[in-house]
Amino acid sequence: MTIAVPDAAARAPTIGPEKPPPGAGKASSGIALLAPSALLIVFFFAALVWLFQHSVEPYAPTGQAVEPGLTLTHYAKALSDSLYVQSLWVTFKLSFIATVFALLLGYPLAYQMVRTNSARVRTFLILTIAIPFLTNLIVRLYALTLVLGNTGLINKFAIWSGLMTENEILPLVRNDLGVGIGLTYFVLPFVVFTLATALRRLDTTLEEAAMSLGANKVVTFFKVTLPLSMPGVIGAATLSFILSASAFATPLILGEGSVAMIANTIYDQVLFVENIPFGAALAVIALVITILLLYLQARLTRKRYGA
Amino acid sequence: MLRTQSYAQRLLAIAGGSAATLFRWGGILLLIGPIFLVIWLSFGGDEYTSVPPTSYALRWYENIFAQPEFVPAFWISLKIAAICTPTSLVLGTLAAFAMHKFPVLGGPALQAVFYSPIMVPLVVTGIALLFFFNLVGFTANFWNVTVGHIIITFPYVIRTVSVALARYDPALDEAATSLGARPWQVFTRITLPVIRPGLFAGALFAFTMSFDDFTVTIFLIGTDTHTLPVAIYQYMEWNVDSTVAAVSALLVAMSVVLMLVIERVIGLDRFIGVRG
Amino acid sequence: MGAQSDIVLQLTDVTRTFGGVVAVNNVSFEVARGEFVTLLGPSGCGKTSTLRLIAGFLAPNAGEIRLQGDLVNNVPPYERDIGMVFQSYALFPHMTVAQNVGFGLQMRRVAKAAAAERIANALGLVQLGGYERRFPHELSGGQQQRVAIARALVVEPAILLMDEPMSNLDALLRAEMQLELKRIIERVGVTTINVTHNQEEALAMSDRIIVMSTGHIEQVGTPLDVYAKPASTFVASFLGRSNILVCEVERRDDSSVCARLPSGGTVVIAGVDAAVGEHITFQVRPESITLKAGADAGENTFAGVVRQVAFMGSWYEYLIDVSGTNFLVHVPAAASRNTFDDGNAVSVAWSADDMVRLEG
Repeated sequence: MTIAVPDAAARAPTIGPEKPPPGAGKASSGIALLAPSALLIVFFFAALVWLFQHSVEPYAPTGQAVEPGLTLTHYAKALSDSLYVQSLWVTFKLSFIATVFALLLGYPLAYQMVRTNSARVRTFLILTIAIPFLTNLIVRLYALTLVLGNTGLINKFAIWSGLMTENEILPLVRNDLGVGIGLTYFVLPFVVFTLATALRRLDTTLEEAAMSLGANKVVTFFKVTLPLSMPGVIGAATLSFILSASAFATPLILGEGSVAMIANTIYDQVLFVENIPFGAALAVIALVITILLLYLQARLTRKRYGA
Repeated sequence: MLRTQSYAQRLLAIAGGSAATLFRWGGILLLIGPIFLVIWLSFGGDEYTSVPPTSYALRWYENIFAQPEFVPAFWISLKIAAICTPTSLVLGTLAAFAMHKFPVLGGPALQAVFYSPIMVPLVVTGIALLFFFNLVGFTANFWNVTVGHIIITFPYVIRTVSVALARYDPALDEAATSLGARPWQVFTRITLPVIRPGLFAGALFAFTMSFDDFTVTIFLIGTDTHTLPVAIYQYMEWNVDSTVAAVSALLVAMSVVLMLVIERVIGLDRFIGVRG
Repeated sequence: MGAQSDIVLQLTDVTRTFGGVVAVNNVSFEVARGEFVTLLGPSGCGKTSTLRLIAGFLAPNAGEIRLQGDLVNNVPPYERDIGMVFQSYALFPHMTVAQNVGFGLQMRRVAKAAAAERIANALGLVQLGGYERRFPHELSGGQQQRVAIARALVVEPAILLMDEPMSNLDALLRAEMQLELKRIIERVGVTTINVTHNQEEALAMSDRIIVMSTGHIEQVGTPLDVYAKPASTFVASFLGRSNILVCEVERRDDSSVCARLPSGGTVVIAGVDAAVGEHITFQVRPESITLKAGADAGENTFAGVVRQVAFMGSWYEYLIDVSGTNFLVHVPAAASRNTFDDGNAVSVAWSADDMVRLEG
């Protein structure tokens, strides 16, 4: 066996250029992979830019030529005309309420889904959110009208059980209440999903430590679990608010025309009134609100929890 | 020495537990109650949908096929979803790989750009695309809707595939390489099969979001391209019989089949993110 | 000695940098056919980088790597005749054990029938016969490791590379696997390079050990060489425990020198040549020191006091204070009829031959 010992006498080393590891792609192949998606995204952004362009054009009823020049009157109108301010206010109000209730109903559900030791319970709860996720929204909203409608389940039950007489109606559709319930119904699966993901990452030994120090379950929840799950709660709340605020089908079907959230107003302006610039301005406002909410969420999460 | 709880503490514990249970059951009821109701009512035989039904029949199921709008709408929705799903899958997977292998492309700014269709409200996307298609002269409604669906679904594919790639053990690629596999073989024989759950979840998102979409679609359709959700809505507006209930029941059945498929391929609990 | 074709691996002045850090610094060594060589060192010493250079996952910035005489600097791993066992085993989760083991054969286009036979043999070799249809997640950690070994060996590579394959096993399993792995490798006769930070593993399994530190080689030698005659303070303290002392040479004759300890007293060191007045560093292994109760006289014998006693199972570990210098002493438990307690007066002694001079 030849044994080579490191030789103190230096031999002239073979110098080669610094080579990348064999098999690693060049940056150009990365860009090639990304290209088709990038194309689509560019298309999308172009559409958004064009939307913005529309929103600052003067309004011209069909047939008339569009005047040259840009204007901000549509934005002014959206933010000052009481009709549209009302629409914005309704949007915010209902989204807020729906978010609160979705969190209240969804948190215990998500908690049990993640923490239960029984496979049966967990499967049941998973099915409870999987089914709505996979079912068509229109179908789900229709189903909800069967429950809330004037001749629906709740009304029929109230009459049958004697809480109401035959001629009375409990109005749960065509009003803010109905849309509010509908929005909660719409966002609840998303909220449970988001909370479940966040709760799963929670370290249960922290709760055990609290209990070993004398805190009962409720105290442990409020002092340990809830604060630690706050980023998840904020994420779920943001998602819920954004989904509610931009909801179209839900107010359409449960409001039956008498509740106009911002998405419905946009639709009306563009496809019925045909005031395209105004509709575009409203859409841009909706987009800006969404971006602000996302920014707020990022700031809140990072500042509090150093995420 | 046992540290027993005070009376107030115990009361608080019971109240808290009861409230949680109440809310939880409220949530469960809200989530699935209406769906069970609609299935029940789909078998009602009355002229107008009534709660509860006074008779039972299958007439509304038959009516689905008798009416002119539902079956064609179903096929259109299916066709659009069938084109949208593989396209989104390929685009999203390529993008996810690009971001994974070249971290410079996966930075937060570029990520935000590629995920932006998810962030933008659907109604905004809908009308923006409507105007832009007008501008560039695309008038084929079927393709407009399809492109719209691809735009709103492929970011979800990027996300699910990225998650799968993040968990991928790079040593697997090296092991295959050390055994003689060339890069293309590593990709097809090792990488793709191992990230299959991510691919499957992405394809599923793409399919359901395309098939079920209402908001973006309604801005982009013409009179000849009604998708199923649109057809259901329009029928709902003008009729009070239980045909919609029957269609709904069928769609729920489709969802159940989909769920069984998910359970088989990757497991429902993994899909929902409860485990693993 | 030996024909040139007996050298399977040759590294010549290999250097590799990452950013500004030199991970592998002018490293050169050769490995002959059938040898089991371990690259040993603490984390960050460059041993893993060296292994990855040999495998082809990294290319050297300078120097040459030759496998069986061929220059492979820019040859990708899938064209080198290697088999590799990874720290995490890297078993393909979507393939059965048989498919995992057969993957390399598939890449080499071995016919199905022949492959099946070779897979069966490989599994038999690692004592997993009958596990063909199982999936990796159904196996224990030890079983997964065996599959990884079988997968690397079945292709009959020119060289087997192992990257800390034992680090995920518990202590008992590790000890068993060291012997078994050595047995398997000897039976197959494959040239092996093992990377580890575990010196017991290196000592137990290797024909030669290459001790590395901060990118360069500290010492190359048989386990006995490296342990008994460490070339530097680093090697001395990395392998086993040692007592390291610095002293000044007082007197020298033909075969030994006398040097003064800082704490007083003279030691006699055999086989060392040094000038009078020179400062030298030497080591004495704890197991080479004998303990006796009370005072004693003789060459390399000193009086001290027991400061600490620890029972380690098969030996006692004593910390003895000799005029301000602490000596670590190991005494086999069975042989010792006298045990010493804290505070006892004892004398420590060792033979001049058991002292090893250290450079740097």
